[in-house]
Amino acid sequence: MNAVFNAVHMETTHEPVSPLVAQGLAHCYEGSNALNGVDLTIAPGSVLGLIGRNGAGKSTLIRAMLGLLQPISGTAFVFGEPALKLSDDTKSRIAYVPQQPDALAWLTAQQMLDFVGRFYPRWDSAFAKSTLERWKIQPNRLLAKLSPGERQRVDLIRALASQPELLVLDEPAAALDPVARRELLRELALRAGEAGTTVLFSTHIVSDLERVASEVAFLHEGKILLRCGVDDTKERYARLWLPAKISAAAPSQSLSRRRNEDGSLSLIVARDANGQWPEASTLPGARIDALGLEDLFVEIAE
Amino acid sequence: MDASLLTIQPNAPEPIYRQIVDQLRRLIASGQLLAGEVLPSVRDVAGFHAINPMTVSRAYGMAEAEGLLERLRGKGMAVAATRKAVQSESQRMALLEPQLQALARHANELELPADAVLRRLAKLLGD
Amino acid sequence: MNAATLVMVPLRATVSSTRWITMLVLSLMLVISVALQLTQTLPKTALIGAVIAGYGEFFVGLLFVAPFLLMAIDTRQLRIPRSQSTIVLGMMLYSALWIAVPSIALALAGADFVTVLTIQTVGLLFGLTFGLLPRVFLIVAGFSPSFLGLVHIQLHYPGKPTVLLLWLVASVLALISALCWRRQVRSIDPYGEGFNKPLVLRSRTGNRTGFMNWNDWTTMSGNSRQIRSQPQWMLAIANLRDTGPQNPVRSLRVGLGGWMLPKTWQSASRQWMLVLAPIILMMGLVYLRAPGITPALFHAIAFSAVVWIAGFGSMVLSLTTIVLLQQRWSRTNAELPFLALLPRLSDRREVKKYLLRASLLPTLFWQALLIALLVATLFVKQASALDLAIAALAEIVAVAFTPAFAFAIFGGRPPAQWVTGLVAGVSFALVGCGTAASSILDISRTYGAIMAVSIIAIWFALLAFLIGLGLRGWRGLQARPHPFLAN
Repeated sequence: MNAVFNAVHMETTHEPVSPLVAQGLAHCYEGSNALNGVDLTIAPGSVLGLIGRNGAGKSTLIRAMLGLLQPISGTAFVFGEPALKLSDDTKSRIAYVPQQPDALAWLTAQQMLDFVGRFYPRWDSAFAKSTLERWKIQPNRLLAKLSPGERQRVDLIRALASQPELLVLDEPAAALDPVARRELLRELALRAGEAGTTVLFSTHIVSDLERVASEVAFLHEGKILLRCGVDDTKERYARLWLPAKISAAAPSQSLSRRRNEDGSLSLIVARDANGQWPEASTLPGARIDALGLEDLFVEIAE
Repeated sequence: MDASLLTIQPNAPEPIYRQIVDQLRRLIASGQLLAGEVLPSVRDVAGFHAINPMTVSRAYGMAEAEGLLERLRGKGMAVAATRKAVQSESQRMALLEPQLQALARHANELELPADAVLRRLAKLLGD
Repeated sequence: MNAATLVMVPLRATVSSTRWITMLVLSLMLVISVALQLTQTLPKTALIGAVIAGYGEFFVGLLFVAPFLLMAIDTRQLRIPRSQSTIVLGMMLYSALWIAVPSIALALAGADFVTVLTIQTVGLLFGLTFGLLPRVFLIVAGFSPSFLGLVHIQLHYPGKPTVLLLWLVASVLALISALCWRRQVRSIDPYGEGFNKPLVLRSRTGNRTGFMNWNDWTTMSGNSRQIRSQPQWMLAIANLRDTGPQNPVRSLRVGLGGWMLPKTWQSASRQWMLVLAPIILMMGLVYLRAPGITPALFHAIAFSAVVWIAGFGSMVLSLTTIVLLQQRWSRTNAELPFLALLPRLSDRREVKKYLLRASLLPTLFWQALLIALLVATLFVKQASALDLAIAALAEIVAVAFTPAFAFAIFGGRPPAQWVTGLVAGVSFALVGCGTAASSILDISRTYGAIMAVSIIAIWFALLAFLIGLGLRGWRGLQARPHPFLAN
């Protein structure tokens, strides 16, 4: 984690302003809390994956961070500017693809890209044209007549062709088939690695996140429960299983605790400062299981 | 070497960079990668597997620090020339250590006698 | 299949609010018709009660019986065994019940049972057929009042031949319904949308009352599904010439879409044809019925007719725009984030001004034309002070609608859906009433004067509401950092 962070920092010292910052964002819809005071800073060049259950507030957080909704309290900054009052310069540096994009359904794919391209100073029309071809989208069909997956791809092309420095994607892979999903991930990974594009994306598909994300944030009930480097998370957390007879020895510090039917105990524990698992893991019968992000996520979010 | 020689399992508990380093170790130890052989670029590996290039650089960096790889000017990463084609037995044995430990743990959990497990293992190795 | 399943069929096929509305409409009609039956003794009007109840049956057929099709489609798609016969039987059972209750009630009140039963059956079957027929027929049905005018309905007890004729009509309707039902249930894509699909399928999109509701109208304006349901030749072709950072208003119109979208002249003229064709057709019908009066028709057009055209036209324009804006400002995954993050659209303060221009000017332009027509008529025709007042009020309110709602929507303070629906409904009713009033009412009589005063009072109340709404919205818009925030 440290190595990654340093590498990022060295590469981008000329741009010290964080692309996205959230400070104490809180919001609610009709009485139910969507966000409960979220603080989040994204380092330049990093790829942050946002995961959480349905209704955890992922879309709300993303929209609040981009100034697309007025939060009840807290502020968000995009490249140092208040998100609700972005300048043209900042707007031309960011691109956002909402969940199930449905904008400008009355234009054809070609028309939409032409129209949007007129507003962006660094618009890559060659990329737009070739990607449209490569992704087999008929340029002269109305967007309304495309399938959800095709719609998503057109909007991704729109976002990528503007050559943004910050790319924000809300569930980008939801409507894509495995091949298209892999292509998108490749594009994201390479852009982050080479152009230094900062990426924030939310997803349910944890394996996507494990491929391309450098960091992961768990959003649970309107709060960031955990925020960590992807590799670090896998190495730092594990499931400790204690049989019933020694479950009293369970460490007090744990991310989640579940009592199984047979009286045994499952805990999500972290390594201490010296990289050691809690004491209880050395007891006879105790077991430490390394976890993938998905298992970790399920254990915590349950 | 081709990027497809590596297998990446994103949802395994092992971080991806560790999966790469482990596979490089094994490929070199077994002689599938020879000294001086140039590795695919970070971009190629990242592009082929759709993974973050930073993860690949980190893996290459670790392998370099370990002495498995060396940086060639203008060519990128290559298997270290000082590396013997095939490593000593103890080094190769060390690569098997995690799997052996897991095997031992499972055998204990199943309360199997050690000699029975060893007999079976010997038979498997003999084939 | 047992009796309980059969009884439960409508409970599963319709939403509770639909059932309540149907009950309410029919009860209301029934109360009115029974009351009429008991009080009216003139032979000429004796049948009015039965016809009113029959009108209620029309809604039962449309709202309550036709939606059974949706369930039939679903159960067939889910391959639920024996479901089709249960649904059809349940439908017949409930239809018989819905027909029997009013018929018996009216017969008890003194009407002829067979005649009433016949009219109820025809009413219900009309509703059912209307719901099951492809939507193209809805357009044709728009002309039905003029066709009905051709058939002179005699409001006295029909003799045996007429009752027989009505039963013949009923059997034809039943046959058409059965054919439509069969076609839709067995269709390969029973859920698809289009003009060749039954009207009742639209209710799938409206989830509250189960049929066309206000909510439904706001979501259908210009979204992908609506565009998909239109035939290719009807679709607008955007004209992107002169759009871009140098022309923010035109670019915003591309972003708003709908009828504000800049179109190529070919597609614009095609869409104009679509509006003009029914008018030309109507005029043709009038000419065919009475060729002699056509030249005199223009001179004979009453002032109130022009008031009605101008008022109605302005209202329709305003409502179309409002519905469009309300829909755009309710979706978070479409035009709003796109417009909010589009660079170089214009300066932050300027953008509100440009947005108002882009959204209001097209509507106001056409409304100005209608007002010009009204003023031109004034020079030709004489009009009373009452007529003038009502005409002016109707125009002012209709024109005030768009800016008031636009401010409210952009400022994040839109009224509730039902308030919008109510205000629009009242306004439409008043446009109709106002013109009727000016031709029927005699202001010298107390009754007429009270009517005129209350119509004017309601117009003023509406105007006050709109001004309040607009001011509140204006303040909200000033307070908002940018106008592209979803409501």
